[in-house]
Amino acid sequence: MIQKKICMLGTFGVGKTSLVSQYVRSIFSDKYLSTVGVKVDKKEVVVDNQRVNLVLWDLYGEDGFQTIQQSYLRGTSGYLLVADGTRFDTLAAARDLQKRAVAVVGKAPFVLALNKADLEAEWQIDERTLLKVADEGWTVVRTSARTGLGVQQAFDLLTRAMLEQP
Amino acid sequence: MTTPEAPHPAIGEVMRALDLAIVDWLSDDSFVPLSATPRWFTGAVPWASLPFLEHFVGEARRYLHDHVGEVFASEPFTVDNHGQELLLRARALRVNKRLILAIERLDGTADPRPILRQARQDALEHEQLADKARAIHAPLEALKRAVGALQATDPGGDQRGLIEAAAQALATLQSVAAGLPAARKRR
Repeated sequence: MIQKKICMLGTFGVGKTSLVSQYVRSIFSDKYLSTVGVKVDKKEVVVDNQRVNLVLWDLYGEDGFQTIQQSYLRGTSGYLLVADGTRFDTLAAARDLQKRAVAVVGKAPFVLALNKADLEAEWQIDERTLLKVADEGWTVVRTSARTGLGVQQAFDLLTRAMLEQP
Repeated sequence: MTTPEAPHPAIGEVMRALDLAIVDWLSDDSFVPLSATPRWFTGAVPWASLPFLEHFVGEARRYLHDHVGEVFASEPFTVDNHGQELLLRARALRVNKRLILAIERLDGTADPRPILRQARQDALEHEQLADKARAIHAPLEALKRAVGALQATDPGGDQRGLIEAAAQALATLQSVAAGLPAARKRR
């Protein structure tokens, strides 16, 4: 079976762990449990008739307290950048992380998950900003780890893009 | 020359009490415990194929090849053991060409999670407060201009009193707003 390593990247509190939890276990918890260290989950999926074992590296959200070790990105087939629609600055943080990921893994496929779509009334990231991001060729998916909206789609898009890589 | 002593039988109990698993990590990525291991280590976790440990062992081999006699430590990592989340840290060293791993459970005061979680929660609340401060500053400026314009007119007695009351209320609001976190500059 094909195995693909996916890293979850984004600043703290954007919902990386919740997205993994929703995707792997269909569970969402309201309790915010900031990730310390690294959590690795696995999920077997079938995409376009191919069985793929996804190894999801949920890295702690980078902040003033912890900095991501670049070695964790080695061997990554693709990554899910996560930003929080209700916090404008998380998009800039995602952009920074994307640049650093490119420096380590090159042009690996990635998808930007704009999380917390269930709180859209409180969003600070507007349509114009999103269009700009899309114009740069980024794949953007609105997700909600709470309701499950877009979660499967984000991972499916990433998995397909990884499988298309030579 | 002294002959090496067999490990004291108490060592295993000490390791277990310290929540420390010491294993000899073999070149085929299997391992042999060198002493009695803590209960959490004998659970359902597939240690030999744990992606984080696979990664760590690779990094450790590279590092220890160039840094003889040193210890290579991992960051904390989390594994699920029968629904219980364990926070662990691994350290690796070379002993007589063997790669020895000490895997330690971080709990109690060694567990940094409660402090980090609180710090991040505080940082999030600070961000929210700064956003509210940003939202307050614009209407406050508009209010200041309006009160200033009213003060510049020549109001009658009753109106003058109302305008002065508004000016005082505005001054109070401004002093409260001055104590709020500065509006963040968007990146």
